[in-house]
Amino acid sequence: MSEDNLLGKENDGWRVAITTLMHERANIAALVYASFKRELREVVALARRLTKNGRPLSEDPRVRSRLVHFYGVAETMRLNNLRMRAGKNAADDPGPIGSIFKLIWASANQAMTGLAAEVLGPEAELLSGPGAELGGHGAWLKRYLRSLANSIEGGTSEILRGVVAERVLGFGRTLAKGAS
Amino acid sequence: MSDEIRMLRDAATAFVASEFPIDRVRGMAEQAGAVDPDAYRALVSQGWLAIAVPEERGGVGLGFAALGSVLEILGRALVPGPFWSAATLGVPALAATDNTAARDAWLDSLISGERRVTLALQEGASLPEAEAIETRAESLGGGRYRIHGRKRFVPDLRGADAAVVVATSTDGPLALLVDLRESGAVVEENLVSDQTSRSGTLTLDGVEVGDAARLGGWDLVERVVRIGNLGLAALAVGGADALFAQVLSYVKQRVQFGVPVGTFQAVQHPLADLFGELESARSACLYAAFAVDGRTDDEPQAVALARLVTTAAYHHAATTSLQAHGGIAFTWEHDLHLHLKRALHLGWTLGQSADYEAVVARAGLGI
Repeated sequence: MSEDNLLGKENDGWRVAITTLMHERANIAALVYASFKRELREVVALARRLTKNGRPLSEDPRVRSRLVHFYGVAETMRLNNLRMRAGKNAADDPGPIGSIFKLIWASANQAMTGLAAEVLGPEAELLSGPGAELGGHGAWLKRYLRSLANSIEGGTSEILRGVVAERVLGFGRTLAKGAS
Repeated sequence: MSDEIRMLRDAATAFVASEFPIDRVRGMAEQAGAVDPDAYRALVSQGWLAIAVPEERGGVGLGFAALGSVLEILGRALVPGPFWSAATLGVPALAATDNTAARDAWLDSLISGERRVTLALQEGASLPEAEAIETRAESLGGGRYRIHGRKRFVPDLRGADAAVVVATSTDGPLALLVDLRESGAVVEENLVSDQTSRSGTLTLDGVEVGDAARLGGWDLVERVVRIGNLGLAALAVGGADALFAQVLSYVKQRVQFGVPVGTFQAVQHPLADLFGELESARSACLYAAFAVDGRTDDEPQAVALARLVTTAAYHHAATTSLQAHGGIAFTWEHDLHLHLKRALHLGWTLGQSADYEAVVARAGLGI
C-alpha cells in the first residue's frame, strides 16, 4: 500500500478514526432523537391508557415526574443536536457534544422503556392469551430488554466516558499507556 | 451568537473579573443580610438593566438572550446583590405594563438603577396558581385598592423601593405596584443559608394604592415569572460552569498513590457524565432565551424545562465536584459551599421543581 492511502498524518490514525466515528454519531444523533421522541409519545399514551383505582397513571405524580424527565432528555437531545450542527462544518470534528450524545441516549432509553415495563408490571410479560394485548404481547418488555444492549453496542458507555474524559476534559490517554 | 452579544459578554467578563474577585464576593456574602450599595451601583453603571428593555421604552432592545449571557457571567462569579431580581422581575414588569402613568413614573429610574423593584408573589413554598392567591385587593372605587396579605420568599426585598404585589380582587388577580414606604407595608428580612442571596417577608396591612399602581393581570405576572426563570437558569449555567472548570483543574493537580487523581476512571467517569448534563442544561437555557424573546412558539414549556434542568445540573455539579475534591471542599474556606447552597436556593426561588414539572407536563406532554 502506498503512502497516498494514508488518511491524515502518520501516528494520527486514532484521531482520524475517532473523528470519523464522531461524524457517524452526529448523523445517528438525529435518528436517535426521532426514535426516542416517538417512543416517549408511546409511553405517554400507555400511561394515559393504564389506570390505577380508576385514574390514569399519567396523573400519578411519580409517573408524571419521570415522563417530564424524559421529555427533558428528548428536548435537550434535539437542542444539543441543533447546537452541534450549528457549530460544525464538514471538515471539523463535530465537537464535544457529539461524543456525549450516545451516552445520554443509552441510559435514557433504558430508563424510559424500563418505566413502561414497570408500570405494566406483570402485564408486560404476557406473550399471549387473554389481556396480552395491553402490553403489546410482550413488546414493551422486549423493548426494555433490547435497550440493555444500548450501552454496549456502538462503543460501550465506559469507552465513551473515556473518550469524553480524554478528548474533551483533557485527561490524556492514561489508560492506553497503562495497557501497552 | 451575534457580535453585539459577544462584545457584551467580553465586556461583562472583564468587568466582573476586575470588580468581583472571589475575596470581595466572600466579604459581601459574610455580611449577613446586608446589601452592598457600591456593588449594585457598579453593576448598574454598566447599563445592563437596559439590555432587554425595548428601544421605544428607553432600553437598548438587545433582548433576553443578551441579558441571559450577562447573568451567566454573574452566576459564574457568584456575584451577590439584587441585580437578578431588578433585571428580570422589576424592570420587565414596568416595561411590560400598559399603565403609562406607572411606566412614566418608574421605568427610567429603574433602568438607571436609582430605584429598584422586586416581585412579591408567593405566600408559601410553591409557585401559586392564580386562584390560590390569598392576598386580597379590596376595591375602594375610583381605581383605588386596599391590600391585605402576607408575601413570603420575596427576593431582595430589603432595600427595594417598591414591590409588584400579586393580589386577588373582584376583577381577578392583579399585579399592583406598592411603594414600600406606604404605611401598612412591613418589610422583614429572612436570613437564608445561601449567603449570596437575600429574601424577605412583606406584610400588607391595609396598604392603599391608586390607579397608577395597577400594572396588569395574571398574564403580566406569568410573563414576569418566565423572565425571572430564564434569569435563574442563566445564573445556574454560569455557576455550574465555574464549578466544572474548577474541579477539572483540581483533579489534574491533586496527587494520590503517586498519580493525579484525575487519571482514575472512578474520578473521570462521573465528570464525563456531568459534562453531558451541563451541555444539555446550556442548550435548554439558550433555547429558553429564544423563547422569551418571542422566537419560538413554546415559551411556557421551554422556560420551565430550562429552569428545571439548569438548577438540577447546578446542584449535581456541586455534589459531584464535592465528592471529586474530597474533604478539602467540605471546608468553610473552600468556595464550593457557596455554590452548593446557591444551587439549592435557585431551585427554590419562584417556586419549586414540582411546580415547573407540572408546567412541562401540561404544556409539553398534554398530561
